[in-house]
Amino acid sequence: MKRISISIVSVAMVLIIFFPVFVIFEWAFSTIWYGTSLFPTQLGFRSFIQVIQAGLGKSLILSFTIAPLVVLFSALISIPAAYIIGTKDIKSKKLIENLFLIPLIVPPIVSGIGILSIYTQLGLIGNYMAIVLVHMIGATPYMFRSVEASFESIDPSIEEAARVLGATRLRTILRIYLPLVTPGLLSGSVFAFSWSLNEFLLTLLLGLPNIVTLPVFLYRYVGGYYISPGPASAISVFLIVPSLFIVYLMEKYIKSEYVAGAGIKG
Amino acid sequence: MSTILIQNLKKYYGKVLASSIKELEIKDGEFFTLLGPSGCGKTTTLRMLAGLISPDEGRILIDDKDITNFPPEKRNLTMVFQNFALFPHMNVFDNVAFGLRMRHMPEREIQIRVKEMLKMLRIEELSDRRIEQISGGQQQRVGVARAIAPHPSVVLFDEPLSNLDAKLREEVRYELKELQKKVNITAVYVTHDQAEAMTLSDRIAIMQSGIIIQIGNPKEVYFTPVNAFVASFVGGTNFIEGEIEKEISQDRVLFRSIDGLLIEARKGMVSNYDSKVLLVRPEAVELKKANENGIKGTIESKLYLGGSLEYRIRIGKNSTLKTFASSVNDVGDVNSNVTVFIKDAVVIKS
Repeated sequence: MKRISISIVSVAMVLIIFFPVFVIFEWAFSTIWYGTSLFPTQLGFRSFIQVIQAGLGKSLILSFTIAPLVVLFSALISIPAAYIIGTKDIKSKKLIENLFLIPLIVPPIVSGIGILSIYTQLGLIGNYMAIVLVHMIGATPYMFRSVEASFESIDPSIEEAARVLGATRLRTILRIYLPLVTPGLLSGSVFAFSWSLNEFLLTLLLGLPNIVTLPVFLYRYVGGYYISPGPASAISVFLIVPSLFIVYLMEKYIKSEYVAGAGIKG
Repeated sequence: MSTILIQNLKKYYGKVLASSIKELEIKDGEFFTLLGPSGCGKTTTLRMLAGLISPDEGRILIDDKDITNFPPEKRNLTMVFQNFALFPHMNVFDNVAFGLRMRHMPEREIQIRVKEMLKMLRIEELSDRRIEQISGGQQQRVGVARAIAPHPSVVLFDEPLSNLDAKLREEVRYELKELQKKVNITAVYVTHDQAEAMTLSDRIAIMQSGIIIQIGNPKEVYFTPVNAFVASFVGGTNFIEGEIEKEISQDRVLFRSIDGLLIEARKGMVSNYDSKVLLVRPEAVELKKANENGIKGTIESKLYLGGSLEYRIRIGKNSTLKTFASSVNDVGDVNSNVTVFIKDAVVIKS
């Protein structure tokens, strides 16, 4: 019974996750396909050439420079906050932890409208760094919770040991805490990176005309009066492949518990 | 090696006075133990010395320098922790080297010093091991090596043996004793285990409810405790109620129990106004067959403990004495009469 249900779940997961991905690859590498047969009528790179000519390169550069910056800055603010909240006995700790989740609860369209009027007044519409900041709204909670969970799991006497042995607070963080929270930092980074890579709504609202990231670029081919599955799929490949690659790296170098631990706990 | 001077040190947790020490001097090279039950303030005191918590009042001086407001890393003292607190991402060598690196010692000297430390604690073959690969006893040896490697002015020990099982505890205790002779450190040691305190210490301070109630060397504390609490904390006890009948000499008295028995005893540290009780350590009671000259008693219970026998002897309506005898030296069964000799007794505060 147990075995059967596990098999059913596994098959369902494969179908749900891999079937759409498979179809995406089919569309991306087809030159002629009407979508009525199981395989494309003719394989080729036509869709890729089309999107490259339409400005894929610029979108790629934007997406893959914004995401690392989002990871970097959200890590920089999360580490000190997570250190204090995760290791010190402070009042209203639970409240602060929950405050960090608010960005995930407020619908992006709501915060987007709010930010839109502020950015318009400040003249930040279409500004690169302003988009990095907007991506951090969603990415930082993941980063913070993941890093904080790591800090929390460290025995507080380890910090005390480092201090009495002559390490200042800063050196304790650099030499003791940072190596120990690296797994949490890495899984937080993965979440923050993919958040930024996939962020669509706020970038669309606040980034145009200059900041056309991959999801916004992709929207051109599915959001109008007609849908172009070929080019849209070709762009999707650039979103899927890095994600799969990261998951592969995580599996290979980080124990899976750490990745699971990065999930947002209630 | 350094002298520690504590003056009027006070720490409150909310309204509760966790630790209050009026004046305490720990001498250069001394092995000093704070002994007491859990919650007596011994760990709080140690953590104030380490700078991990700050006192509400008072001063701490090391070699006449006021370090009360120094952060832990500026105090030049190190600590051995109850739960070892080793750095899990470093191997044994790097753990021991940590304090030296923080002091910017040249890497070549670090190599030499760490090897020397590991050798002294007989763990040199573990140098490259990861922390989770070594046993609890070995981990605490690493903890000790890490603490003494930088030659700090003081080493603090926070119940370092209480996370080890009984057999290991004895082994590491013995090694600490050996080490103490070899390296001659000023050490402040916190424990609730009187056997540890007795074997390791030059002097012991017994704490209760945040206050030191007696300071002395192990012998003084054991044989002349200041009150019944100290007496029972550091060893087995028999208490006989009564009053001092008369003084025989300056430090000897005749004690009359409430059953009317007269027992010669040391005067101890009682003053005239204290309520008094006579302390007789179980090993100071000697039993002989009945009909000899001495206190008459009846065996009330007898327990076999393997190598020894535990007797409870009734010597009067209101007093019994507990004592041990070797099991090859059985003096009789329950209800048989014996003669009791009290080899040593001391009058203490009840």
